[in-house]
Amino acid sequence: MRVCITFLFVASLFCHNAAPSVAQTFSPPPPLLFTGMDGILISDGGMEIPIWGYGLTSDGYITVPGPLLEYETGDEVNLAFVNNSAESHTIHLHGLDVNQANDGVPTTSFIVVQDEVGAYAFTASEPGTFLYHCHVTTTLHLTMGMYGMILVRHPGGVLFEGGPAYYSDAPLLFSDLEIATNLDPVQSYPFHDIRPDYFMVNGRSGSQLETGSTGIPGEPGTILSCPNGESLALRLGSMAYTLTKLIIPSELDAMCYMSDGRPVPTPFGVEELDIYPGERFTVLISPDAEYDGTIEVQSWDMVNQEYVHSNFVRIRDAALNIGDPQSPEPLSLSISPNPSRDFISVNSNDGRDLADWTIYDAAGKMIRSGHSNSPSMRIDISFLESGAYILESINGDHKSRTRFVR
Amino acid sequence: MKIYNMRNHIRLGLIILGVTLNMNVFAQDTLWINTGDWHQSQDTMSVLRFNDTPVFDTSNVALNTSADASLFLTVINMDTEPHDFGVDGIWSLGVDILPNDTTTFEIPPMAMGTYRYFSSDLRGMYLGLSGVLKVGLNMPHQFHWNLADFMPERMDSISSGGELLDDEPYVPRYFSINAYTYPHTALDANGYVSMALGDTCTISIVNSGMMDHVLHFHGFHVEYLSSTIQTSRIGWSKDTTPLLQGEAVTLLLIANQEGMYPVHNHNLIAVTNSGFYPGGMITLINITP
Repeated sequence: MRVCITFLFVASLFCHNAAPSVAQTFSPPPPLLFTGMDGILISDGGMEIPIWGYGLTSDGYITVPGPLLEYETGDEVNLAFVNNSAESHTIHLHGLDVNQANDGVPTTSFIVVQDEVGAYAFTASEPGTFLYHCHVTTTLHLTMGMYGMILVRHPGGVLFEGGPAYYSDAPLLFSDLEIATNLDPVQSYPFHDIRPDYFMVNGRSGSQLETGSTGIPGEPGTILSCPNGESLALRLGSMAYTLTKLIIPSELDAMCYMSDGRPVPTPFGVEELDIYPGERFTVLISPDAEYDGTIEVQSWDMVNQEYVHSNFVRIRDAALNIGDPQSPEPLSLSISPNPSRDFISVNSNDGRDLADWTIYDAAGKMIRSGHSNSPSMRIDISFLESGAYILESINGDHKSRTRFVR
Repeated sequence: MKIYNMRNHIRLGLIILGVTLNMNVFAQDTLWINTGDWHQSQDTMSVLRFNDTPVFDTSNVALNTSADASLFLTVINMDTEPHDFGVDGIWSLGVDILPNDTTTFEIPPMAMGTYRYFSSDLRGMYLGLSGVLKVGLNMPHQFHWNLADFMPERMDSISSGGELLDDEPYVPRYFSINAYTYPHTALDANGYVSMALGDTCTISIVNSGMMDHVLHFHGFHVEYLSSTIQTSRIGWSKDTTPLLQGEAVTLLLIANQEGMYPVHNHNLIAVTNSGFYPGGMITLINITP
């Protein structure tokens, strides 16, 4: 009898329409995140791939991966999201060993239906690299893009108590998707044969990993710089359906100190590192003076154990950046609602007039331009085709860009 | 390798009569290679299993033995084809056990840990002749997970005498723990981890499948006590544990918080049954107050 009861309970654990079994008892904070199912990922070849995902409520758009969540060892964290989409979602705090109530698994913790807020409370007790993702129909929701990285830093600029000091963090989240699934998730069953055909590092691929060619005008790519004599902490995590194999040049003197949010008993030098789905590693690299090279990120089919694809992450001595064009100024525009079908309201967060403004499509083609003598304005976008766009504002030497989706 | 053919018949006779030899310097077991059907969703697959009786059971039996002592095994092949036998990376019989034949042999002492015993012939590998061998594990709470993946079409071909085609992709549709797929994994007393707060257990895991797998633990980190392939990971504390094809590991789990937590394959194609979620390689840890 006991076995039968257990079986019936367990059999319902992953069904996502059951009532919550563990209620939250604290007052939820204002949602930091929201979930959406109407995002667009611009591929390396300029293709618009539908995505689901998490975004900052302050930004109003979702991204793949979701926003990097950063905490410090010992932080008491209250994390909330509002579900702005038709399907139910959760946040599973992968690797943080949170209690059952905050585990993000439907029915053992709770599920967040449309227009509701879900709140999670936990202590960031261990420093390290962690992940978060939706745990509703996980096979589908992850390939659609519902994941991100969590970084728990230790005070004092060290990886962990008694661990090595380092200069700065470089989060690198490896993931992939099967384009056909994202284009038509409703028809994506069966899930046992998802074969990714698009591979990403922090949501970027191929030439997008080079500066200035992300598909978004003016948005920087991924070049990791580190002053000679310092160490850069590669925060490596995988949300892929493939095996990620890193090929790290010996000139980077890479040393692995942590895995899955725990120090490894004996740090080890690494020139090749396998990262399986869900795993994380923290690797310190120390580029030689005038070093300018790449880490190869290989993707391997886990079923047939075949090489599939490579991306490259560029690393260079920070001294080589001197004389490079200045990085774009931080974004200072806010757009709402985003996505929108008809109108967007644009506000300059620093109070400057919007002045000369331009809308670009994902390929960088100018669509419309104008001038405003106000820090806010309303723009009709009903004429635009569905997709991702960039709004640029230039006021004297001050230039701002932000993305919106119609 | 020593094959005690002279003693086989005596030993087998005693075993069949329900008598066990009282020898303290080594352990002994008897395995039957049985044939049977494994039913999953709309598929019925012909499979082979190592059972501890002549009656077919869907799960391969887990063997236990002491560290630093020989293990004497008697294997009775009830299949229609010959099979070899070995302990991955440790020892191999070197000759086939013929259909309807019985062989007894001595496996030399092994260090504490978990190992895979198996038949490496094509029919044995694809139809499921692979089990968990636990050596020197003495904790009161012990669990084992024998991971496997199955492609029914390929199994049908091999069970009827077909050969593998080099260019045929492997597309498994079932992923199991001890031959259970979720939600039926909750019925498996060897796989469903049930303990009280403060208890400690070992989990012996063998990857008997044709591909790598990777298990993610909710709620807990586990410590590697042994591994037959990734030996550099012994002593690591992890929440996500790759199991390479053929690998056997021993993990230590300390029940330091109450609640019900899943453990599942994080290659998410493997948490499905014939493509439908949820299913496959998901089991649970239930920690009671």
